[in-house]
Amino acid sequence: MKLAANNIGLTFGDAPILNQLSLSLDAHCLTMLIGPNGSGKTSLIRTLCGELKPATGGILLEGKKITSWQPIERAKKMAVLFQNTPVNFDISVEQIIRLGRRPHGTSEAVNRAIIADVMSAMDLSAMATRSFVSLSGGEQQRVQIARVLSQVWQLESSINAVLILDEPLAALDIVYQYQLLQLLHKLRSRGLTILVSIHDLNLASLFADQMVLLNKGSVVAAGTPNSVFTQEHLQQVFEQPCDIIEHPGTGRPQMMFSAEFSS
Amino acid sequence: MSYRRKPSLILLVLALALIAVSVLSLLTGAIEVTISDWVLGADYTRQSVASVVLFDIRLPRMLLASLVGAGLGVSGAVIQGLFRNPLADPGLIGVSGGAALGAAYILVLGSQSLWLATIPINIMLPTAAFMGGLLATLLVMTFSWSARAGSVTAILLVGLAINTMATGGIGLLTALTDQDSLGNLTFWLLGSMAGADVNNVLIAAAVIVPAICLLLRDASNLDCLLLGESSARTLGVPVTALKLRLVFLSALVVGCAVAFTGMIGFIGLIVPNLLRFVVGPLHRWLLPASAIFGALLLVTADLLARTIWFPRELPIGVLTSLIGAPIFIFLIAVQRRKGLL
Repeated sequence: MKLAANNIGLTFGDAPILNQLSLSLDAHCLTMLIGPNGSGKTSLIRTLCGELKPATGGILLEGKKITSWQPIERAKKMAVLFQNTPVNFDISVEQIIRLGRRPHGTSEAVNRAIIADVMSAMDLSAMATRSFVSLSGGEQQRVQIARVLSQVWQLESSINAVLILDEPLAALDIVYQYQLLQLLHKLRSRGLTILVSIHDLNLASLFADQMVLLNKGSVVAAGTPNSVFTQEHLQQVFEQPCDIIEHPGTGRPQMMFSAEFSS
Repeated sequence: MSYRRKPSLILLVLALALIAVSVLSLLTGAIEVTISDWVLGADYTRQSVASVVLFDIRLPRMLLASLVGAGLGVSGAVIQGLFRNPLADPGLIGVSGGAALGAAYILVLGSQSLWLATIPINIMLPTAAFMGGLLATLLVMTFSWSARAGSVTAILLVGLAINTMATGGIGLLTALTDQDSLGNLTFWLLGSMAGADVNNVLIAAAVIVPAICLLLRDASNLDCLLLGESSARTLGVPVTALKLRLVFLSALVVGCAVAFTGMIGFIGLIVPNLLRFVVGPLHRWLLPASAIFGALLLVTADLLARTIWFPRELPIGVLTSLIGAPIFIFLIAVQRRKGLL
């Protein structure tokens, strides 16, 4: 499934948030969105899923304007995890994950199999009946990720859908960060279109098929990790001296920021 | 966890309890009613005093209590889901207050305006209460949604302001109007089932039953709303239309309840919250259970209100408040312990 943004411009009051930004997300492609705080990553994600209305340009999902999709039909094809999803009610882990199956109207047997799959993928099987609010921040994040995964999960091999995750790695320990990225890597091989916003440049570099570097609401660079992670781009956006070395296994660029401390 | 008990079983137990208390309520009172009066009551030529009491007084009263209790229970659950806050309640957030003020105002205005006087009071009153309740809900929504989503403080403070205004307004109206039509302040502020008659029951049934049925259809949408509006939208919920529908229907139910029985506090708060302990937070079970448990609670409260201090009758809201407020404090403690408040 293809999701494309064409020349979108977004303003908040007088302040420009996104400037004539274009972006294309394709099937079988894991795209990582990076950029400093306030660069527009979250605004871009909220615009892509139709939450924010761009002043100019438009979003096309499978060639059709995102706002013209029937809500339920769109939900079958596109799952989004926002950054903050507070829950004020005592609800179990399994009940939250099951909400991801709501748009589909698939049989209980299918739903149960999918929920079992995503719970095992996110290492939640032992917590199915635990109360969501009693969990730690990282555990809650895994539950929410499992919920959006259950929305796009397919029991057969190919997946024709879009998954957008806004900083899914926040609050996860390094083991779960790796596990999630490995899972996303596998899912994109089965056809899933994935966009992930992320702060860890080195992890992004290792797992991304496509990188998008955002700064002040504009795309500074987009393409393979090797083409995006250059001295020039990093200096321009992050303004921190940094060495770029080659990852021994994959040849992907890895960033080593300077150890000089200002006094 | 407690919510692995079978919700359908709990629904059945509640329904049986409601039937039992309803029958008890019909049989209890100053005049003894026997089974033969039930049968004879159907035959008007052989009506006894007891059958008149049964069919003209106790039955409408029991039915009105059931309808209002069911309505308040369901609208409490819906308003909590809508505001994403388990401590919201039509009474606390000012919906009931707005409705009562609307009803009291139209009573005074109605006696001074010729064309308003042509509309039957049974219709005019719930309409005015509905408008008052709707206005109050929209006011609370405006403030709570511009603030942080689901913010407790904003909702409760606006509710407090509306309730204070309603109390003052109704007090002013009762003080300025020296006619009986407005009733007394106690009726509006603490509620009463004493006004129940066949017409009231029919109108309440015609409004509350269809509204509850429509609200039940949004159970799955309300579940998604637990995750917040943005996430609900990604799950295919048309959030804006849903919000308008829920606000409209719950104001309709609360308005109708307040118009006929005054402000009966805490039913909408404690019913869904106690039920969440046993049937869980999903609205597919919570909404029907709230209807039955709300009815059960209010029929019981009415039975107690007219019997424990016989021959005096307590305002029903005295009972629901005295029982409800401690439970409210208990719920706040539970919420705090879970880190939800």
